[in-house]
Amino acid sequence: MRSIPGSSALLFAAFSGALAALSGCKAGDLAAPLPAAHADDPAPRRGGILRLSSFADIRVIDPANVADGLVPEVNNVLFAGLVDYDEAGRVVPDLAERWEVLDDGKRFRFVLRRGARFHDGEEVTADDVKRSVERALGPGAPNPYASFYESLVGFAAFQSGKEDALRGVTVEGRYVVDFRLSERDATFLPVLALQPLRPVCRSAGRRYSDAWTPCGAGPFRFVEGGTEHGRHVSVVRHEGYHKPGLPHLDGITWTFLVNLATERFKFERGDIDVLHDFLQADVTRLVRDPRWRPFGAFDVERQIGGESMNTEIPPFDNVEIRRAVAAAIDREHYRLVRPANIRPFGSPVPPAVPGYDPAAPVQRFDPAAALEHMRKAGYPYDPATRTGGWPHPIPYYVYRTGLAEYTAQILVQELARIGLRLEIHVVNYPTYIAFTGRRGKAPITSYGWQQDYPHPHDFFDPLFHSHSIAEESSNNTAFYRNPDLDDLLDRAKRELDPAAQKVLYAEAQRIVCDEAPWAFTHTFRFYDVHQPYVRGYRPHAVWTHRVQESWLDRTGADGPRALLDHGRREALGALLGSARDARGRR
Amino acid sequence: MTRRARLLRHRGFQIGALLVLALVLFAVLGPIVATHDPLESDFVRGLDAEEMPVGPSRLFWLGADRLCRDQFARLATGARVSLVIALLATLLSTTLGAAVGIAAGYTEGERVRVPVTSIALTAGAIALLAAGRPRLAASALGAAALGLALGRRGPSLPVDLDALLMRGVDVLLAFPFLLLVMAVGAAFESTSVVTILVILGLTSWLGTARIVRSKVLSVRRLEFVVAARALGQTTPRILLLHVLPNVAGPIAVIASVSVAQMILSESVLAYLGAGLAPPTPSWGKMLFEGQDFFTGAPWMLWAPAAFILASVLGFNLVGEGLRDALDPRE
Repeated sequence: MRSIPGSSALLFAAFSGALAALSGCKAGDLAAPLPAAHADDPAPRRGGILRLSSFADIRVIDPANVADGLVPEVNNVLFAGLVDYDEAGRVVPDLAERWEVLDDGKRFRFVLRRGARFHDGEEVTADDVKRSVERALGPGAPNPYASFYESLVGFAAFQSGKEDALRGVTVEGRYVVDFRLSERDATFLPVLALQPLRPVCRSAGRRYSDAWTPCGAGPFRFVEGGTEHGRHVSVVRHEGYHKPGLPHLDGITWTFLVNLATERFKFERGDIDVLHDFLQADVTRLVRDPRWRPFGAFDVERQIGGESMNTEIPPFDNVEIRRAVAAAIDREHYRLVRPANIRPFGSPVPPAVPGYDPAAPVQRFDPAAALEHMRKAGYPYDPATRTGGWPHPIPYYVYRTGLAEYTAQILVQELARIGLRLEIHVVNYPTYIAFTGRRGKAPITSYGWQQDYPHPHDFFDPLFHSHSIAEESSNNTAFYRNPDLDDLLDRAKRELDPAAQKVLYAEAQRIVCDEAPWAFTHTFRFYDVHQPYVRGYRPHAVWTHRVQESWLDRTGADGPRALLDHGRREALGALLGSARDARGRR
Repeated sequence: MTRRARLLRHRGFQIGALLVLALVLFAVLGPIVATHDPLESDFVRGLDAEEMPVGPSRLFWLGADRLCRDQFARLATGARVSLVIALLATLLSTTLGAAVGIAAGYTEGERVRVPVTSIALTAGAIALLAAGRPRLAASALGAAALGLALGRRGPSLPVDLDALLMRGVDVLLAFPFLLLVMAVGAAFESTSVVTILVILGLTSWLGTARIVRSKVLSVRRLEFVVAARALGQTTPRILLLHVLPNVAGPIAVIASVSVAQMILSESVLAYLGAGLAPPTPSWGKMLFEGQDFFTGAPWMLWAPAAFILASVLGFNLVGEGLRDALDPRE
């Protein structure tokens, strides 16, 4: 044998045992929150570095290339947009002072604030807006959200390189810029409030390039050497920020690739100020602990989860089988996989999305109906004798170590009760993504959709419109095609009246819940908890860690400790430096 | 004192044998006496008031897991899985390692005439393997081996079999074991007991081959082997009747330690997510699932960890006992 030497094997085994023996000791007890120094004083205080962390890492800091789920946090404090979202998810002015809707909804005119400045001190003008839009939507930009802006006049010609400028964006004065659309588009403002088109400094150039120093007009600015890949990112206050008095913080640091348990212990020590990632046992305890409850909050639900059934592959090409699956799943069981974060839900749009209609039909657990649908499908199943049902095992693909690996095991049990036998195939994440988006490959998969912008279109269009079907990398993983639904969604996108739009999306929801290309199962909500000395921290409907208005109110006890820690680091650094010098001299 | 007496008086062997016996009994009887189906969730009784998995109780002897399944039933079924994989993978790796070691050691310093057809088939097998046709490659390799064993007719080439085999072993030893196993495991769209045991068996024979070869090098020079060759006995007969019995001791020791390694390897693979597909229970996977709960439901971690510890310790102690008992210096 060469795998692991015997002594190492024993050591490994002994280590496992020791770890297990230690695990039950004190790890379950939560430390007390670290109090604010002036809890009764609502006036913000200036200064201090906010320390955040994550188990993940970021790839690149550029609004034109939002390449992972974590970087929007960083982008959000570095880059300001013409418009932004408020805490409730409504579009509000930011760099734009105001806007007008002209030409029956086909033209948006934005008037910029005067005196708003980039981090390099230059004023933000309409030219910068156009240049930044063209930089983000140009042929060379790896912008994953570019298609969101396809209703801009001349988008296709500009993206393909046939035209040098984007005709749909025109400068009408130093502080006035127009966006012209080829047709009315109810999603235009919500997608404009996202990050890709946010103005960047002139030094970024007219075309996208990997080699640049992040520079925008957000409340914090990037510092040279402030990032180390896979370790941390630091930003400091932008003194020229256009909102008077903001930000209160001197700066923010993110530390990356931190183990979940380590994050918790650092948070309890006050080495991290806000905690966003949790072990399941910890989030349950924090939510229930009365000492911590005032300082924790759930984000609004921005994502849905479910079982996507490929409508082109048997047995899910049979609508009755799909209806049977949708009725057979007890969504409460899914919740128990992660009780604090998962909520049972049988609809394609999360409840927090504007336009969500609670009165619209949803999918529900109904075992008798599920068996009836199996009978109608021609595959009756008798639960007493466990006979009948679909005669073949059905492959079910999930990726390793994700939540779906657990919900899959529940699904196997639920569907066995109506005569559908699933075989779980665990693959790595890229394979899973490839299989789910590949035509004719996966009969049924676990799938989820995270909101890009708070609008029902962001859920219906990519997941269920037939134009989202592709041979590879199909967003419509159910390969569902329904001309009536397509027409409904197209009309809803052009409809600017919210009431009329709501009626159209309610009808779309009825169709999708009834024809069941997905069995919708749950929504997922993240939990944030902060130390009491982090003030003005509130959950946001769209962004994670919206800290522009936050301030720090540490007690004297924390202050000296932080200083002491800083002093220790300095002393250690000096010591190491002198040792290096000594070696160099030798 | 006889070897058997030395073995039975060996304290480590006694403890190891007891642990192994307990493990075997647990694997055989555990699923029978368990009060729950290992694959069935009990959402009503499997959670406490805080919606955490319940701890050890009369209903759930070793607590429940995060999907409210009985840990005892899953550990017992996991024990069967671990034992079956470990024993069969050990059989495979030991057989392969012993065959290569004996062939290399016995032909050391000589050039063996290998039929050209076998050489061609081996080259073809490597090409097929590179082309992603493992089944055809295995068939070709089997045919090559058959040709090597039986082929006395037709054209042949003199080959330094020992150098060829041992340099092959050196090359394979250079691969990091876990990386190799995970890469092979990831190449399969789904993993079953057979897949795992074949992967482990085919990647773990290298050390055995080296040890057996070194032992054969000394055995082949003993008088009775030299005499058998002088009397004209066939090579297969000499290897089976004279060489193999004299290297059986080391092989038995390697095999018993190998079982422990296989249990550990299977657990590591499962822990890293490259093991058996769920919902089949596996100790390594249970360990992985338990770590998310170590602050709230520690039994989910210590139960599989304790079983891994006990079984690895048991087989290692048995191996140590065998080694001491068979040591000619004692």
